[in-house]
Amino acid sequence: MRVAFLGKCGAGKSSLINALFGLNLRTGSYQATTLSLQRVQASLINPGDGSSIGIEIVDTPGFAESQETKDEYLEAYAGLLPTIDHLVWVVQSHPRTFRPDQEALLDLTPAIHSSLTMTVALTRADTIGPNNWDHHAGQPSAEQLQALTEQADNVLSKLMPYAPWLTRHDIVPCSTTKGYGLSAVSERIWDALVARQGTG
Amino acid sequence: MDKKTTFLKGLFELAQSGHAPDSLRRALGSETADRLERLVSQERATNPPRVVVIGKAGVGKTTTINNLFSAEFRVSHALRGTSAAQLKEFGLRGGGVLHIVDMPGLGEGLVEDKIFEEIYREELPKADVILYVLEADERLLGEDQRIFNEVILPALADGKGRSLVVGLNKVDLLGPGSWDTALNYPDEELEKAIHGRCTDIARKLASQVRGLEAKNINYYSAELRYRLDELQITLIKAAGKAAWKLPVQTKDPFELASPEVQEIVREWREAQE
Repeated sequence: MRVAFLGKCGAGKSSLINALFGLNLRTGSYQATTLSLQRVQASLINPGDGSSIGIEIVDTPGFAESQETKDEYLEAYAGLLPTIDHLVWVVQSHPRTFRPDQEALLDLTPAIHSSLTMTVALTRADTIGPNNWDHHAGQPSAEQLQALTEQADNVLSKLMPYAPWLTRHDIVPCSTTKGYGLSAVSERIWDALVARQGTG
Repeated sequence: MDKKTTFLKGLFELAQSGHAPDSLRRALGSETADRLERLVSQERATNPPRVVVIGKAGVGKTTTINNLFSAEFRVSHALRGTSAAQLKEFGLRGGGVLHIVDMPGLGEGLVEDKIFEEIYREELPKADVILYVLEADERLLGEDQRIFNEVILPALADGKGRSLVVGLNKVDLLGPGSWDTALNYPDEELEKAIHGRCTDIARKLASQVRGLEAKNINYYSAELRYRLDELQITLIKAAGKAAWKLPVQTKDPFELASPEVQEIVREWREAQE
């Protein structure tokens, strides 16, 4: 079973992978760090009974990092997508720009097989405006929860024209630094892989 | 500036304000009062410097504008044919007027961009200064390169000299390192990260913005009022001849430092006096 993580440059793909699977991929803060496909073995834990299965995680270089690398990256994604069992599309929680995501989805449509399931992870949920994370409860403040709901709706409306199979349930807010929403993402991956094993 | 100029400027401001008392007209005599009115309308007719603020959606264009010239804000109205671009007029304390055009952000989506890019093509050629705002916590420059290649550079291809200023907003959100909330200033590690980010940007936009170097990138935080003075000075210089119309007056970042620190500094200042 193979799960790939795609998203804009700096969306936090490597950080999310590290947080989900206890890995140690290199992450960067002010420069793109993942420059080619990186495959790592990881174990995915069953949220139900704590058992685990071995899966392959594919970390990818972020798209839209620069015009020069665009074609090269797209080619790599197009080769990868037909071989995966679940796709995690990583989007930061606060930006308002979705054109690069739309363009990537358009370009990749031919490579996305009809049975592929997708999770859209909204990373850095802790920093969404008004940036007043509830430290006491260890979760987003009421205002942030409201903003995250609105942003999830917004993301859906921006991506759906280019990914018609997407539903609101596919969009999951999370934060790696606060450990928020990570089990929800894992659970989705687990369910998707189990469903896929059942059919295939 | 000699006394006479200062006096005339004050008189101009008063006349422009629309609140000139009748006593002023009496004191000047009707001939002089009429002349002053003519001069004021002439002054109005000369185009104020026009700064067009552009960039991707969500980079903080509006916050930047509001905090750059906060005290002098006069009026904002939608530009003809679009509710997406706002012309904001600032009546500056030192006299004169500044026009800032708050443009819609690009990159929200393919459908939105079609409309907004048309507005860019219309507005960019009218600018004296173009401020391109980037945000520090997004590494994505492919989209900015595309905006330069497909929108900005073609719109400016007429060869008329316009200044381009590159601003890097939200540097407080960058990492590693963190924002020192007591000082309202970046810590050393964050300063390093900011410089690293500037170097990366200068390299990636090198073929779009000729001669761009890391040191030419005006990094700041509009929200936390960090280095707004520097940005304003850059804009003044870029406005060239019209520079006298743009006195520096940004929101004070000190007000956002910890109240305790503020209090101590205030006490010290008072003791000095």
